[in-house]
Amino acid sequence: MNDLRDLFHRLRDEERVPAFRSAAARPPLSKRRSRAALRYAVILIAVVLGIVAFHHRRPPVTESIVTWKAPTDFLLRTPGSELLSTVPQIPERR
Amino acid sequence: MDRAELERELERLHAASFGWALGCCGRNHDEAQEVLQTVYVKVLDGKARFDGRSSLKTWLFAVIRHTALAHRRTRWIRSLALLRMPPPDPVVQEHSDDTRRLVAALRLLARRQREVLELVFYHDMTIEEAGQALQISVGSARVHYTRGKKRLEALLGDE
Repeated sequence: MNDLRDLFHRLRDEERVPAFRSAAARPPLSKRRSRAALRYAVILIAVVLGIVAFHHRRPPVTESIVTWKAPTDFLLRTPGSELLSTVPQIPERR
Repeated sequence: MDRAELERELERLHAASFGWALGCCGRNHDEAQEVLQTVYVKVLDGKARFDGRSSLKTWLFAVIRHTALAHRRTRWIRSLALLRMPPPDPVVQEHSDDTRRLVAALRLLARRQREVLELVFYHDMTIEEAGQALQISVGSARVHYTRGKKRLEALLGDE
């Protein structure tokens, strides 16, 4: 039994103990990890917001109403409507 | 007990607390330091309160053990969630051949047996105090002590 106790005491003597002040003063690693994770999250959110903002830019206000085309414009085109916008050619008489 | 007095007591018990934290963290120096810091913050911020039902050392050892177990669970969950950050350079403890064999043999014991033996032989606690620190009955602590000691002696004798 004393052999075991001696062995454990030897183990105790060999182990280096950090100073109390340094152990008590430093914020725990879990806190440091949380801070790092928070920093990464903020950067990630900023990047995502940047990408979203870039893709959802408003159309330029300089676009004229004259050049604007309705997306449903093709529905107004009826069969034979080209006859209304062109002059029919009458064949020459021989 | 006011904060200054508590801090003085923690400083007095620091070496023993660190030894116990090492035992609870598989002799991982960095993890033990981390656990002990968390314990000190808990105690000094009043999140863990000493109610005087046992000695301060026994109570502190119970807090260290709980914190080490919680720390281990968190690490496991983090490793699953791939949130693990690169670990700092580990501090290598220099051991003689005999103590290295002891550490290796302790790793082969059941957790409770290892804990009781460390409390009794490394920290010179009685079996009753060890039971209090581990929050188990004296009878149960005695069983773990007897079985653990027998197995440890066998393991050390085999080598």
